[in-house]
Parts: sequence; C-alpha cells; structure tokens
Amino acid sequence: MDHEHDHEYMHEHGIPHAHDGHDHHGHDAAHPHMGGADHEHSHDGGHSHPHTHEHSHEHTHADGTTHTHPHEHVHDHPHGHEHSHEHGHEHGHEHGHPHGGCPGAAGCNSDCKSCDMDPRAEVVALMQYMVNHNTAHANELAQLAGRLKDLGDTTAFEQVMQAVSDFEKGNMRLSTVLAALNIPKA
Amino acid sequence: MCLSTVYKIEKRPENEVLKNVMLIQCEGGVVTLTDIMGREERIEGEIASADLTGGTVVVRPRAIA
Repeated sequence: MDHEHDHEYMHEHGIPHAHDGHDHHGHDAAHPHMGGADHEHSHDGGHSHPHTHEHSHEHTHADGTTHTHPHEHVHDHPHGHEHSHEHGHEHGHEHGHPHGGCPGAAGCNSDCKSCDMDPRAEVVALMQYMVNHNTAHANELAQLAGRLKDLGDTTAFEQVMQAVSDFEKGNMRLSTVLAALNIPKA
Repeated sequence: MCLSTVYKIEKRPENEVLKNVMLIQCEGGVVTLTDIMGREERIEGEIASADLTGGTVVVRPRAIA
C-alpha cells in the first residue's frame, strides 16, 4: 500500500501500525525450506525425462560440525520401475555451499551457478524480519519516551516521539518495497 | 531479538558457522543453530558466549578425542 500519513505521533501508546497487509510479528520472519522429496511419479514406462526434487542432506565435516541443508537436483534418467524415493545412482554434487547465505557468505566456495540457495527468497525473508524488527524497536522507543514523560521531561518525550514517527515512516517505505518484492515475477 | 552470527572457538571471519541465526537450542551437548531460512547447523559442544547487543555467539566445540 502506498500512502503517506503524517500525523504528529503514532497511536495513543506510540505503537506503530501496519498499513501494508503484513503481519507484523517477529516469528513470521522465518520461512523454513527444509523439505523432503516433493515430487510425484506415477508413470511406469521405460522412458527418460528430466525432473527436479528437493531434499535435505545431513553431513558431518571433519571438524565435527554436523548440519543439514536443502538440495535440489535435476535428474534425467530412465524410469522403468515404481518409484520408492530410493535412488540407485550417485549424486555428483559439491558441498561447497555457503554457511549463512548470499551474498558474501564466509567460506563460500560456490560458483553461484551450482548454488542451491534462492538468494531472492533469503533477501525477502531478511527484509521481512527487518521490518518486523523495526516495528518492535519503534515500540520500545515509544515506551522509553513514555518513561521520559513520566520523569517529567516532556521536551525529550516529544523529541523521541517525533523520532519514532520518522522511524515509522522509514519502515513504511521498507514495507512498501517488501510488498513489491513479495509479488511473484511474471 | 536481533539475529546473530555464530562462530566456533572465537569471533573470526574464518570461524563463522552460520549467519542470521534466529534460534539456538542446546540439548545433550549439542548446539543446534537455525537460521532465518530454516537451515540447521549442529555442533557438539557448548555456547561459550553470547553478545546479544553485538549479535555474536561463540560456540566452543567439544574436543574430538
């Protein structure tokens, strides 16, 4: 939603409010993508076709670190059998995946082309998190302003509340960008 | 409530384990990290320190015998 509002302060309690249709709760920021195999096969002929499926791997590095991460593979091999999600072939994938997401993850050995991460999805998730995070901080600042008012410093109270209002405007801009990012590209 | 970056042993770029960590669970001598995308890392060991204003957590892996 793309509108401006320019009220002096926010709500009665200084609580910023959403106008963008987003649920502003911190726990919504995460979007786990650890999926199992998500493909279906119902053919029984001895034919070949490419297909993609995603699953999670767990592996342990030499230093004892164990972790899981999703993989997506594209196969093109003949099918003349019932599928039981067991694969009788080797996967030749690299394990040079980033530990912490693009861009610029430390230790990333990926050439990006073989990377199994969706950088856009991660950016959107982080943006969502930040918008929620900013909303929470605006609330906390407003509460601090209230304490200043209780302490008798009305000037500081008004200044902080003005800052909160400005902060909310900036966050509203981010919300607008986020809403646009969430629209699937044609 | 900020996301954290988790390091092994000490805070050095080469020791980074996972960024944007939103959940840390410690159970049975295993520290399980989950980032904002749901990726998990498990380290046998314990949390050595958590700088909640700096968004930095250091995990001390259990020494491999």
